[in-house]
Amino acid sequence: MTVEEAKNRISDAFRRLLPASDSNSQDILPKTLTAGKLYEAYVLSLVAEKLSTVEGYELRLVNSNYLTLKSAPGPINRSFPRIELRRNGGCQAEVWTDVEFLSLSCSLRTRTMKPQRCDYHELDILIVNAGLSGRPRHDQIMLGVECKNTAYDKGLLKQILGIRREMSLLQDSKVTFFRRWPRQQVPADPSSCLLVYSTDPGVMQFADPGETFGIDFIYEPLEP
Amino acid sequence: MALSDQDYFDVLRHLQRELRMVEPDLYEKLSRSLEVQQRPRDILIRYLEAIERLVGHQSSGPHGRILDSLNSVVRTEGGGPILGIRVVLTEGEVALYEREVVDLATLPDRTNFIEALQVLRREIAAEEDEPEGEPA
Repeated sequence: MTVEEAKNRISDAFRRLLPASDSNSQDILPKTLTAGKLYEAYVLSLVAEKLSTVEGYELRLVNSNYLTLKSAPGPINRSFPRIELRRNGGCQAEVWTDVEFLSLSCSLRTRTMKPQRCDYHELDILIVNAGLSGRPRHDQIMLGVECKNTAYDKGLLKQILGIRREMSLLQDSKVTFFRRWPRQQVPADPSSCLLVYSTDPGVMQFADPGETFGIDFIYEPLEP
Repeated sequence: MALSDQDYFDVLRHLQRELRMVEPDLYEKLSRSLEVQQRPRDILIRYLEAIERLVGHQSSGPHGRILDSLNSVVRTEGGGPILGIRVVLTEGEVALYEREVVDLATLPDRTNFIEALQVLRREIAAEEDEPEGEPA
């Protein structure tokens, strides 16, 4: 291949195969509103598959016939779609997306103050006790999942270590909510699980601290 | 015939120019994470990979597969399949953009573009390095 051939193929790909913007109103939506959402849906499908095939749950989408994600995180709104984890005819837990939870540090301080912005953090996917509304407490979380479809760097590692800190205290291994997946035990109290899915193979360079603190890093590309 | 380091930089610059014209935000994003200390061929390969990955996440291409995967294990209250994947906008976004949801199935399908870059990247990766000191 020559330089000119490579350049021509690049130009051809951009000009012929990359769809031009159309003229409908969707064009003015910034891509940041949907960026990463397809990956979030993909990770949710992987999590759902594990919850069904490994953990034996029946999964039921309620309040909509559409899987619905949010452009911005917020508290649990029970009129919003969610996935119920059902076993033996009853709902054992609920799966929500783009939800803010109240931090451990918030629970350790006085409870008379209304939570401030520093008192809650968001995760892309949360499994929590059934029947909650508003922002769940850190001790009401069974599983949190962060989905990253960007290059994974040290800043993101520090971010997730902070999330772990605000979910649980470091402890000797405790039994989790789960029978096998994602893990039966975690060195955390409360014994919530925390997963990071990333499209960047470099994420595994940052995985070692997760063994200490109970964070599982998973390299999971999304094929076009 | 394998390209020289300068040739790979020439191709990379051309790629960056094309990207900046059609996706300036993506161009800026990738430029911030460019690791210029690597070999030029490796920089080009990683740059192509990053474009494929990030454009792919704005493509409706994987939408059908993801929906099928969800429907293999999740049912709606009515017992039927999930019909699609949507993003709900905030109140302020609804007022500004005059729409309440974005259906991810309506994203442009960029599968052919991504595959074209993938083929190019694999060919570049398969080329042997030009031995040092020998004529091209």
